[in-house]
Amino acid sequence: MSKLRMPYQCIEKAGKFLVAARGSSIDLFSLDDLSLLSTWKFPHAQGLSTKGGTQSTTKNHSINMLETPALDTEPPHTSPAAKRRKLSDESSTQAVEAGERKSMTKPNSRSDSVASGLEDPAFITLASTRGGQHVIAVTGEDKTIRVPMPKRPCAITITQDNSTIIAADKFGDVYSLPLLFSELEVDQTPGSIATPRTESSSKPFTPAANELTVHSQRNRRALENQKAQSNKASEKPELTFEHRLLLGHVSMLTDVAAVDIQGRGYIISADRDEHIRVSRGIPQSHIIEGFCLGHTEFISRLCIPQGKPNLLISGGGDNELFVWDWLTCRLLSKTDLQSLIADVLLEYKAKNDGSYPKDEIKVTVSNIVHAKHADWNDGADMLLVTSEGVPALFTFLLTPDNILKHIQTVKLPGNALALTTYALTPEGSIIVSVDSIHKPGSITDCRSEAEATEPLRLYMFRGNELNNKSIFKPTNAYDEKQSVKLTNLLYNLENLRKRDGEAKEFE
Amino acid sequence: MHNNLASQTELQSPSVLYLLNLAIMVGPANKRQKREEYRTAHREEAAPELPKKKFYRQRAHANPFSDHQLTYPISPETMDWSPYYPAFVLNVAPGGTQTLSKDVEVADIGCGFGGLLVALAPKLPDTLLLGMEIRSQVTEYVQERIKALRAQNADAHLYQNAACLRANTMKFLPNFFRKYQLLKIFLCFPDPHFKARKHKARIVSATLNSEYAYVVRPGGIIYTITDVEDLHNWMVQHFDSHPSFQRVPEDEQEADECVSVMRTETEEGKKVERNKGKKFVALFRRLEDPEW
Repeated sequence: MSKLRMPYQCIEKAGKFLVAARGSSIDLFSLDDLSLLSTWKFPHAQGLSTKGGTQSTTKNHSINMLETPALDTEPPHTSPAAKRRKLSDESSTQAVEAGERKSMTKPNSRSDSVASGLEDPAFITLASTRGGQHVIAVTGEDKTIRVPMPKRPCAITITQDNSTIIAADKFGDVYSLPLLFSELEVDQTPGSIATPRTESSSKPFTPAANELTVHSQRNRRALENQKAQSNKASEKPELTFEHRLLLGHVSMLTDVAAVDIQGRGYIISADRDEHIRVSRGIPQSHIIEGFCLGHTEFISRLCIPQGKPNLLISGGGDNELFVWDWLTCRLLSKTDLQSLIADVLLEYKAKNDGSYPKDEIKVTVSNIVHAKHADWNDGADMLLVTSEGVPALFTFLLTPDNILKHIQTVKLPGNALALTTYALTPEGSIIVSVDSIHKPGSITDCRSEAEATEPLRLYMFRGNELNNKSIFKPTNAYDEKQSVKLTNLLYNLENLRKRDGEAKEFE
Repeated sequence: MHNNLASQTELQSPSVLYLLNLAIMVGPANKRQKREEYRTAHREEAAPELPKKKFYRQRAHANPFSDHQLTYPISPETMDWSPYYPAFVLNVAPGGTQTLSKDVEVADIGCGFGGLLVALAPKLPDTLLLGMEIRSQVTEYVQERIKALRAQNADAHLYQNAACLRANTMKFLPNFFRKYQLLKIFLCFPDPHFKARKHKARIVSATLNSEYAYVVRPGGIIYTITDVEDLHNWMVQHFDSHPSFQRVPEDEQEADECVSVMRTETEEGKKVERNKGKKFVALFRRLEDPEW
């Protein structure tokens, strides 16, 4: 395997630090000098010892909370000792304090299409608290658990009061959990719509059907079998932390946002079946205020611009980006993204005969990030958008009449993976994670060593224009693994698209 | 083997079901051909007889989580109801969009072969009723049934207020109905999904109840009936614990004319009657939302 740097699938800023996840490790960079401070590795050995020989058939989902070095401690770059502050120290302390060392296994027979091919569970999303004190990291597959979730969390956010994590899972449910864990409290807290358990696990099994409710010969036989069967104990372990079911879709959730507007909280959730749902916040999250309907393909990203909490920008598999007044569920504008992407991919996808099937280029929005600072880009609301497998960053200006105006297509040295903004007074910067393994424009072809690039890049606004400023200082994050398998980890949104034929119905 | 499997309509094992599907795809050509011929002929008839159920049967279970090849409107505003309720189409200028003189206000979710719909339509002549069914052939049966009934009762102008369409309401209910649009929702003899790991496929759940609350206006009623006591308890528990609903007291429930129709006119209701099974009824009223 060539010496290519491992790309970062998600990045998040936390105070003066940048938290970047590559595979199952998290790197912590200083935003002052862009230097690598520490690396947190997944506690691999521990996982093995607790699980024994069952890893091959287990798959868990967890939310890991890491505490970033407190901002009031001495700056990390002043002494070598400070540099050695390891995230793992904090996180394990945190976890032990919270008493959340329990492991949970869940057999999963489904072929694992999301497996990253890495030995350790890979992080799929990151979120940080507003003060940057805590970072939440979610893994898709897991062996040791900080907070086991009933289903794989797909998206997380943190409420505006910084106290609660809102987690949306693959099965369509949205849960809340406290940011700082305490011992288990009873599930029946206000705001939860979960019903009391119908059967306790100690209750012997009795079939819910009886001779009067089944009518076919085969079903009657099945009922007899059920009755003859010995009572099986419930195999699902109880969750050992406080979590409340807030709301749910019968679909796969793709993104979730928590907003406060006019003193009221709301939860906005998006799914694979083209729905954006607006629900009230805790404790009335069971009340649906409305749906923003208009997408005709899956939705993958929601963005609420800071300072304009009434607006929502959404994107996914549709050719356009949508701007909504989400409280009234009104569509304000749509902006084409497909042709911009097609222009970028022209040099990579054009056929030998020069033809270019422009219309076949699909949009798969992977990031929508709002960038605004009084001192940079003239105080304008800018939106930065990326699409899966596209080596470019698209910038849009949000006009006062709520239209997205394309400003710039910033070509990147690799496919855009993740991005985050931060203010380096008086200038504003964008940190972009690019795919350092695959060739630009491809999600499967690997680079040669000559085509190596740094995975993290810094761009800076000059007016409304973004310019490449510098790259992050090298890490030792060389990839020793088969990069082909990284495709599933880095590019999983396009799988949300419904395919013709897949849905073919049997009669 | 194939013939034998294909004649079964209710099976349990998914692997057997898969075989069944294959069997129908490749299997008894005669039977399939006959069905298709019958259904095509029925569709093309102008004033048809009532359709025969045996040509429209479909296995009793459908997976609500899979992507069926469904058609559904992007939003309630984009739904064209005029083919479903032609007698209620407002005369509009040529080229203009067709609108109805009233909105659908009653939904029968999982309407099956349409017994309740057909029985309720003459009793609520000024209300538009919509049956929603996930199985395509059963939906077609109900549509043909309504077409025949409309033709047979053209003079009395009956059944113009009933229609049926294919939908997965667990996913797409808000695509069809606006907030507070409905007065009543019927959930009659829903699939009990006996196995615990299938409970999430039930038509009543804590999270789905929020969607029913969204489309039903305060004061509106959800009607439930089942012959499975466990499912009845499940539905009562989930609606009772949902802050948007309150159970309707029994005296009020028994005074509701829809309840007796639901007990006696649904196909499942009749089947349970024949088997001398029990029927469990529960009604829930949509409450006003608190201040936010």
